Amino acid sequence: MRGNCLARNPLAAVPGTRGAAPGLTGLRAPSSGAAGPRGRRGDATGLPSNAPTAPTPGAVTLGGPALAAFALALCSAIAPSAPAFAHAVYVFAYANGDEICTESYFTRKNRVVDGRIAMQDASGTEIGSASTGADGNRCFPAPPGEGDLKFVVLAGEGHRGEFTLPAADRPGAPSAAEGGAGPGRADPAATGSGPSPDGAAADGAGASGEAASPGAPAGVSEETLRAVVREELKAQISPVVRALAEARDGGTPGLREIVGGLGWVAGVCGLVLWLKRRPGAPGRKD
Amino acid sequence: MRKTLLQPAAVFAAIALAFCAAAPAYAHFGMVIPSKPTVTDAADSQVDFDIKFWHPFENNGMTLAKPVSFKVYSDGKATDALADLKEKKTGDLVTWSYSWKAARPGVAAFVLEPQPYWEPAEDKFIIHYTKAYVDAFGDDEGWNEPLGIKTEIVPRAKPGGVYAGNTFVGKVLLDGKAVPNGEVEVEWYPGPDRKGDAPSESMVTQVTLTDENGNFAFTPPAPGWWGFAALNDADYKLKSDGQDKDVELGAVLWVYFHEFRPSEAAQ
Repeated sequence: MRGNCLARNPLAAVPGTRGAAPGLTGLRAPSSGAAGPRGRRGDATGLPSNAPTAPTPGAVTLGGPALAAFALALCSAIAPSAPAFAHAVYVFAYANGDEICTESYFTRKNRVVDGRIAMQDASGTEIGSASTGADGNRCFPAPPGEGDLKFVVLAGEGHRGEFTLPAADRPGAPSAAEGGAGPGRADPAATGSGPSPDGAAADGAGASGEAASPGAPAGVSEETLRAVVREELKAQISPVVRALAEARDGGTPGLREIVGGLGWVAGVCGLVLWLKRRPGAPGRKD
Repeated sequence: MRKTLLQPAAVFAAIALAFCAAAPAYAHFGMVIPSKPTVTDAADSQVDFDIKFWHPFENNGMTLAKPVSFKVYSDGKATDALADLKEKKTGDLVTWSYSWKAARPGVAAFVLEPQPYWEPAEDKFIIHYTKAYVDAFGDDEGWNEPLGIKTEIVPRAKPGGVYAGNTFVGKVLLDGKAVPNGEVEVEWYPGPDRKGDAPSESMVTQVTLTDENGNFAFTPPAPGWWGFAALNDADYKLKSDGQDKDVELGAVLWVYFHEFRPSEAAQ
């Protein structure tokens, strides 16, 4: 999910170097009026220290910071993968036959020895745990059921890593892919992730236009339908996203802004003059 | 009367001259641009590549003929992915796309070898061996190993972890040997449908040199994709219209520089 943040960056880079002070543009100060998630995070100082690590809105009972806590919880929910620190711990999981195997590591060469690896279902209930052993590798029998699986590794001293195995990547993925539409599937981008490239699936679906008939997608897999919808949505929404990004970036003022600005100046001047000319106005010399 | 006619003519001439003087001599860059430089989430593990032969800062370019090879280096081996490249149109020019899914933790390198491009304006052929890295699931080791291609920039700063304002250091190799005092062109790629705004032409393509050990350093001022093209003349010629012509060998590396964000309250 942090990938989304990264994907946003190329747009954030758009304002570019406008000659005058190129050395400073990369290190912009935070924009003052920003009401984005960053601003909200700023509000969240003074929260109970456990709030960020326990993104359960139900746990928050405070009135004032509740909104901020909720925003934080939302942030955590949107960006579940652990960020990288110099001594970060990672866990990676993959389907291997009827098993799901995990690898826990600080670096590829430096494995988590005798840590604890836990498997959670989509609701967050722990459904298995084990020691990471001597090499950091542990396999679990694939659990029954559907939805994403979360793996949490604890390596002591606050070293905690997480990895979400999307439902579509569970053992027996094709059937699991249908289950992927169930509750707990929050990310539409994940549903198309089969062994074949996403784009190819989407292209194929786009060619058969009748696939998009609502209600009864007879003969069309939900997978295909989702790919079509995703492509359409992306196409429809991308100009809006770009416009928003450009608006956020500020850029150079257009004619409208300039004329509007002049209008404001004239209006304020007029108001000041009128106030000054009123009988009895302070400073008026009759 | 004559005077009033002359004046607009002079103005026109001046404008025309100014435009001529500003006639672009943009630098060519092979481009391999991943949709994200780092994969952290298995549900968002697909990376789409934009592959072209381009003037990045100005965001226009040339048609890229079907490449000689496109290889993915990961887990210590190279995989030929040429057959998976998809031809597409950018404007009326041919460019290519490629989709890849990060299946394992690790650093993957993506390397394009194009066909020689005949550039009449420079009276030579251009071959840009173009490289980009993507690291996945927290494993970002191995980026400082040469891949053994004809010419390449070997990073000496982790390519998957630099901010705008950080100094990037790379070592230029040609046939596996360091290239001392070699020229490295640098350009920013503003992103799809964007172009840069430079105060003068010399600010479009910036240039730095390698030291006697083949290392160069550059500090991008802004976030985004920055391309480094280390240029050398090949020790062979190629024929154009029956005549031997020089061949420019470019080792191109694309690196994403992240925006440095303000701090936030520690948890």
